[in-house]
Amino acid sequence: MRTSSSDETARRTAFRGLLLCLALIFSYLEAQLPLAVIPIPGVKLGFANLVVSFAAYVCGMKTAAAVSLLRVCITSLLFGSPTTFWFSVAGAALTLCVLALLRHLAPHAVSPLGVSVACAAAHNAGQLAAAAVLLSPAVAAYLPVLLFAGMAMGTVTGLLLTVLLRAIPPTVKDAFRRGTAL
Amino acid sequence: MKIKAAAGDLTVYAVVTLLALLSLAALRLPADTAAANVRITANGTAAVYPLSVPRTLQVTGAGHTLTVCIAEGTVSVTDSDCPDRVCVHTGTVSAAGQVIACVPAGILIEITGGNADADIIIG
Repeated sequence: MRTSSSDETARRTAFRGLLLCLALIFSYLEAQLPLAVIPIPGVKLGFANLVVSFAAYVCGMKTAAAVSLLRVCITSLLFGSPTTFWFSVAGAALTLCVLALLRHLAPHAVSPLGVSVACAAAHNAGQLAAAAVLLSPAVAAYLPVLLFAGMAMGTVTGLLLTVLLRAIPPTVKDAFRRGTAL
Repeated sequence: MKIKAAAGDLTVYAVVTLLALLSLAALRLPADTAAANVRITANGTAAVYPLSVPRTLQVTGAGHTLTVCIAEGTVSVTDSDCPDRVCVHTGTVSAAGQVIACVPAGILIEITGGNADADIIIG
């Protein structure tokens, strides 16, 4: 059945709102994880990045950027402080740059696994860069730890992303991308 | 479900590993010897000396004289004519935040700077 374009716009908006909500929920849940689970400060699973990468693959970079930056603003308003806001913005911005570069320059050479690893490393490096500027350049010594951690966590989210992209049927992807009826 | 890594994925892993190792080499070494100082407070005035430069100082306060020795990144009071000599028995200190105090002479020797406050949580 042919649907009108305003219906599609409404659905598209709703589905993208859904992605933003998912990213927010993941950020919140991760913030609740006690440090005992992952004893290194600053190391997180990065499920919010999973949603952003998913958005990039299914809807495109514009949606991914919107989800990522809105997530950062909202989580900072709800749970963060001005300092953590700048950490998050720097992490998110660097991640989006790497994501866009990989998707445009090497869309077939790098699989979702490699994209996730690169994004996780970029996210941690971006946050640390902000910390080095705002707190003290001495925190840069933490970079190797965060890069290795990003590699490990990026592998986990990358495997999940690969499975998700294959398991979600094309009709659902179309609903996310174009707002077609399910 | 079988997951196959693309050739570019290995490149990504290699690049991140390389960056981590490079940053380890470039950043870790100077950070460990980051400028720590020795602050010696006597008679209400403080003087600061770098921990990395060996020297021996005579510090006088309240009629007592302490011999302070800075060597190999550590500080110790090697001699003192104060009555209890707690400062001498404190031994050597080397980490930021550690202190040697001589109460009779009113002298405080502190290590400042360095990596003492690198404990932060990145949100």
